[in-house]
Amino acid sequence: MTTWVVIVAVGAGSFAFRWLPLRLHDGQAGSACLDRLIRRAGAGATSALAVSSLRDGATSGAMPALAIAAIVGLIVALRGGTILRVVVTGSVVYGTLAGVLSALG
Amino acid sequence: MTAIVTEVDAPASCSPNEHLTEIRAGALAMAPFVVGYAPFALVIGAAVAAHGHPIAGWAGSWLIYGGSAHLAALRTIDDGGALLAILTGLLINARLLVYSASVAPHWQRQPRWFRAVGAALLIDPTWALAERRATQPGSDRAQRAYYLAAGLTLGVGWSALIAVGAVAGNIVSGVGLEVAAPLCLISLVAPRLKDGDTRAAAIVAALVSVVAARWPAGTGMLAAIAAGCAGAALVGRRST
Repeated sequence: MTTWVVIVAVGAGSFAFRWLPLRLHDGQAGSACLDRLIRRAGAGATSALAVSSLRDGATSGAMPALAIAAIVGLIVALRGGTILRVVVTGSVVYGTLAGVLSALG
Repeated sequence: MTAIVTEVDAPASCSPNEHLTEIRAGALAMAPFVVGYAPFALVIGAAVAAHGHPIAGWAGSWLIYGGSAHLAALRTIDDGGALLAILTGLLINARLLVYSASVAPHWQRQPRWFRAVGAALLIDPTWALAERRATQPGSDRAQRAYYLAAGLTLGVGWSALIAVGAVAGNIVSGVGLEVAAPLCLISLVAPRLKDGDTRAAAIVAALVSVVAARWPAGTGMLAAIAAGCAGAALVGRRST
């Protein structure tokens, strides 16, 4: 019963986080300042998530290989590469480097 | 002058072919994320299986719809009790307020049912894809189709992988999928780095995320977001 209570409570609260800003924004124009703040917050959140997912991935993979793969992926993305191209290129780099490091180590 | 990405004006309707194209595009755009998040989903599945109430634990894959909050809540129930587990899960998911506020201007012409369903599917990758899609031309219906296809691809894949993890345990560990999720996120933040303020926000947030790596219950993420906003504001003030 406790597990259900926790799951439903966190779920309901999470839905409220997702729904309330949409509901409050109904028909209202935001200021340019608020719009900039939200965009900065969004970019910051994505960036922080990318770093934390890299860090989490390092527990089961080689950190140097992950870091280099991420840099290569960033370069491909900055040059206009699609999500699939970034993932494939970075994954190939990661797989190759991880294999080399594993063979050397 | 700071460049701000603006939403492209869009008509309300689209042709059936455009509709199918958008559905396919949304599903394909989300597919790499499903692959990337597979190891994490399997870990959560293992936690669900280890928990005393696996059905309730699995239900969080749709009800909570956020891996970090889901995993933290399950692990905290036994150690810290129900109240602490609820607070931990909610704190981790507090960033959803930012995501929702971010997509609100893009969805203001969308019907209410879509905003409710879209809200339920809002999480890191769906938010990022919604933001990117909003800057591309297309009707409101096209954007709806794209987002719903992406969201349902993630939702079905995510919950299925958690179920697999609950059944199969750690058999797929070591496959090397862990690099896919960060690459997906990098591909979504990279186009935003052309804008000076946003670039500052991303860099500062990334650095704070490293420093705050061991902070509890999602507070590191919130600190990173706040620091990113502060850094961008400082850069913006210096450039004017």
